Amino acid sequence: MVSYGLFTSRKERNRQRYRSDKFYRGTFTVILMVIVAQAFLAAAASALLTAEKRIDPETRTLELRLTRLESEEEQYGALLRKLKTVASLKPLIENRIPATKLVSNIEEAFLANEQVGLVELKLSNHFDLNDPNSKDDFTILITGAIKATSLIPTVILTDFTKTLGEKLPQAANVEISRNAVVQGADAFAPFEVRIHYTGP
Amino acid sequence: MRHSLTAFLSFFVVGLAIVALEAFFLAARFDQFQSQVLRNSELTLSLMQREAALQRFKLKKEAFESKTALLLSGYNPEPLTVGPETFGDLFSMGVQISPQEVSANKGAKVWTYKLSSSAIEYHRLMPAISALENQYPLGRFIEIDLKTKRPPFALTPGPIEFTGIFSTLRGRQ
Repeated sequence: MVSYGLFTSRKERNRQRYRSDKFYRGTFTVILMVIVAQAFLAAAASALLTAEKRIDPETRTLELRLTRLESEEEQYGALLRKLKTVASLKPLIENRIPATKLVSNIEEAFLANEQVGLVELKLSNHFDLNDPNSKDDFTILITGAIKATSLIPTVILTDFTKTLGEKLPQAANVEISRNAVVQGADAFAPFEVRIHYTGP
Repeated sequence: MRHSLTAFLSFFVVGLAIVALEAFFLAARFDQFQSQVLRNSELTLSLMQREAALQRFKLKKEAFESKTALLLSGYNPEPLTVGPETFGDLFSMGVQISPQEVSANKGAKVWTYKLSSSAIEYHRLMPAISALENQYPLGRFIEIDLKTKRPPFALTPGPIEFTGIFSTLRGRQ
């Protein structure tokens, strides 16, 4: 250390003051710490850069796989859209009650009751195709005839409606709207049965 | 103010600012790196699931195609062309089939067809009606009217009067 003191000039004393001034020493410490911090930060940045470079190929591979998969999925787009349509229309398909099934049930009831004959069958379904939650709502009007030679046409008609109730789905409501009555010398006793059935 | 204090404060503030900015930048890059790693792992998982699903889909593709074709039969933006392919035996047996809406009717949500005949026996007609219903799962008979032309209890089968209204849901464009 260069000695300084009473015999040195003021200028020299000022110049040498960094050796004893706490702020100058602090400044030196700050510079040192900044340099050390730079070293640490450089090391961290280099490690980060290496890691980033390492995942870059993986990212590119994944992006490539994604593009390939999307184009492959696009090939089946039309079929996927159809499947989505089927899914959205599922209630309409699943809950459908074919009208011919009910007609077939009625046919079975006629076959089971030989003394009863069919004249006319009017079926109407108040289903609303625009509403996916709509239910099949059938009204069936049966106009038939019972042979006048039969002993008691009303009993035969009651048996027939009972058979209809058995053959048709449980929720079907069968009611006689015109009872079988022989009028004069008619060969047949006409009757009318009304069936109402709403799908589940 | 002393020169030494000024120098100290200047160096301290500038040094701190430099270190802080660099640290901030580095932290941001680290966050970006971490989120990229996370994104990659999520993408890997999702890709694996989607690829597996696609494989399963490919295996069942033909079944799906035939099922959708069957279930969406008649679900067209245009009404069915009346012919043996579309109305089967009903057409072959000479049932009169007339579409009720024209294809230009953009507001129509269903296609309706009126069917009528007076020359076919019940035992021939019903299977054909049933086949039509089975051919179009989105179709429904809104009306069926069957009336015998002869007195009841006839010993031989005769033709019946038949009118029917059949509706199918209109497909979107």
